[in-house]
Formats: sequence, structure tokens, C-alpha cells
Amino acid sequence: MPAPLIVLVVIISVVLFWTISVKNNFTRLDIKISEALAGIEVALEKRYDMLNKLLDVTKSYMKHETETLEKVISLRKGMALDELVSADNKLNEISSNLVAYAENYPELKSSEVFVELQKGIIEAEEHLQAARRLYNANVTAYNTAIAIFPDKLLANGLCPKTFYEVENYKKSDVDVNL
Amino acid sequence: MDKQKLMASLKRQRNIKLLAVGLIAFGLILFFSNFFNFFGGFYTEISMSTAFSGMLIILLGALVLAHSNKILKKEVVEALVFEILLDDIDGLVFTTDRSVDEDEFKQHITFPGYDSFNSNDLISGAYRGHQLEISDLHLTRTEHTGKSTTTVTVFEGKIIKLAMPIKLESEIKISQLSPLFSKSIDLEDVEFNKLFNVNSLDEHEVFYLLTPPMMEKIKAFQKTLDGDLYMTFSPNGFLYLAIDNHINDFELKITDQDVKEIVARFKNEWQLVKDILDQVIEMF
Repeated sequence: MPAPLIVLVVIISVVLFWTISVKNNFTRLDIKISEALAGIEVALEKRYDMLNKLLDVTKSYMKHETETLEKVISLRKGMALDELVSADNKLNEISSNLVAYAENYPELKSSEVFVELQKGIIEAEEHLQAARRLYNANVTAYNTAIAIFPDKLLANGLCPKTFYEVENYKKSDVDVNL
Repeated sequence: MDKQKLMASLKRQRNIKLLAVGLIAFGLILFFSNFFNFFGGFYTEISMSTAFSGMLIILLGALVLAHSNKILKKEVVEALVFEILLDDIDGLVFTTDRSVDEDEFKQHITFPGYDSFNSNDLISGAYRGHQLEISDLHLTRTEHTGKSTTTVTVFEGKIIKLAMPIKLESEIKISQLSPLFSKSIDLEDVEFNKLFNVNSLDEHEVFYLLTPPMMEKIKAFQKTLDGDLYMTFSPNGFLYLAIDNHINDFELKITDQDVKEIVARFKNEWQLVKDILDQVIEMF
């Protein structure tokens, strides 16, 4: 085989290998983002369940919040990012209201069940925070991969993903509705 | 143990050590005299028996020295260290000739490749309510380079097993060495990613445990150490730590004579260990 032909075959092989490698990387990173989003769903659901249990205990005190949780927040599998963010923000609002309310009812605040459920909610919120951070780390990796040269040459049609950003809910501003 | 008895024990063992060193020196002279023919023609005729006697005396001296070290550690170090640790460790057990479980630590910490695992001075009990085990560890590896064989130290320092209040679903390993064929999980803190490799089967657990404040605490902790750090958070409720700081605590020197000086030195060494434990406990 003549030398120029060998060189050509090698160049084509390298380019082909690089193309496959980069495309697979994009796919792998995209799948990781989907996985991370599913992780946020699971964490949100856990938080929803804990809040539901806590509201069961405080039903007579917090009728409005119970109704909000049941009607307004409808968690389901495969929710889009903006739907998850919206549900997250509403859960934040309810959680903050709960804390504010409990301050006015010492017997509620000191009950064992309430204290245990509050611990459960804190743990659920920590897991949710971890899920958000993992999602954003995967989005950063994906957005970086499709933006850096020379891989960006193969990123036709791929757009940067949106980060998961939750409103910073200020507990002092909570509008407590009775 | 009574201080007078400790002094007497130190003196006795020092004399035995001097005897052992003397035996070894005599054995060496006897052995090498065959090659230098110090004593003239008559000596060379019985060179095989003197060489063999020399070797036996050297061996005897080495055995006496090793045995003396062991007895000294058992009698003196155990008594002194036990008194020092008693106020800080509940349910204290301290033994100089016991070690941590090698298989357990191998399972949880990825040490560099080694051939020999030497661990001693095991401390167990509870510190500030946390069950713990601490031991000195010395790992070595034999390297063959062409004609020569050398023994290389790959780890020398402390290993600690500490009960922690964090519940995890998956093991998380943090180390300053990069394990082969294992990609580190990157977090948001660029400095943390440069300093440490983080490995786990569950990325979510990593982000759950390593919050930004936790990463800051680990970085600050690593800066206080004079050596490589390995940390493994295990689902069994324990934190496994290994600190390669080239320090071997609670060892007697051949020149040690004053019990007060030995106690002061051991107290300093224990204070450094306590500082490490306090920093780790503050992380939770």
C-alpha cells in the first residue's frame, strides 16, 4: 500500500474515532442530566410526602396550606424543569409558612410527632439541595462540553441546558394567610 | 504503675540493650576477623568455627535487643500512655502489640500498593461520645531494580476508625492520591477538586455529604496535617481516616532515662492526635 494512502487511512480513522468519542460524550452527559432531573423529582416527592404528613398533624391550624398542597401542587413522573421549579417554590412557601405558624402554637411546636416530622423535612430538604447541586454540576459539564473547541464543531443543533434555580424564599417576608 | 518501678524498668532494659549491642559488636568483630587475619596463622585454621560463632552471637544479640524492646514497650509505654489517655477516652483499652483489623481497613481505604502491613499501639474506646480505634501504621513495599532490592515506605502514620452520626447509602472515598482506573467526581469547589479525589458509586450521596461548608472544613483540616489524607465515609456508620504524616507515636528512644520527660513527650503526641479528632468531630 502506498505511503500517502496509509496516511489518509490513519487520518480518517483518527477523525472517525474522535467523532464517535465526542458524540458519545454528548449523549452520556445528556443522560446524566436526565438522571439528575429524576433525582430532583424523587427528592421533591419525598419532601412533599413529609410536608403532607406534617400538615395532617397541623390540619386544624393550617387549613389553607393543606388545600394548597393537595390542589396546587400535583407532582407526577417526568415533569419538565420549569414545572419542578414551580412545585419546589410552592413547597418552599408552605414549609416557611409552617415554621412561622408553629411559632404561634407552642404546644404544637413541642409535640413529639411535630418534632420528628420536622427532622424528616430537614433531611428531605438536604437531599433536595444535593439533587439540585448534582443536576447543576451535570448541566455545567454538558454546557462546557458543547462549547469547547474542537468538540463544538460536532455540537450542531445542541443548545446549552438551563440551570435549576429556585427562588431564595425569605422567611421574614412570608405572607401568612389564615 | 509506680514511677520508681518505671525508672527501674527503664534502667534494667537500657542495660540489657547495652549488653545486646555489645554482643552484636563482639559477634561482628569475631566474624570479620577471619577476613582481616588479625591473629596470625593459627587463627586462619579455625576461621570457619569463629565465623559461625560470630554469626550466632550477632543473632543472639539481635534477639535480646528485639525482646528487650518488646518488654520495655509493654511495661513502660502501656502504663504511661494508659494514664495519659484515661481522662479523655471512656472504656479505654490500650495495647502496644495489638493492631487494627487489616482486612477492614484494606476494604475501606485504598492505600498505595504494599507488601507489608505493620500496625501497633492500638487505642480503643469512646472519645467525646464517639466510638473509636486508633493505631500506628507502617506500610512497606519491596522494589526490585535490576541488581538491587530496596524496601520503600509507602505509608507511615495514623489510622483512625471513628463512629459518625451521618447515615449514608453508599461509601464515599476522599483521598489525595488518584486510584487507577477510577474517575473522580467533580464538585463545585475547584480548589477541593484539585486537592482531593472523590470516589463513590452514588453521586447523589457525594453531593449530599459534601456540602460547601463540609468541603471548606475538609480543606481546612487537610492544611493542618503534614501529610496525605485519606477519608472514607462508610454506610456502616464509621469514618475511616488515614494520615500519612510519618509520625510514630508513643515510642521510646534509647536515650530515654527520665520518666517525666517521657510523659511530657507522650502528652504532646496525644494532644496532636486529640486536635485531629476534635477537628474531625467538628465536621459533623
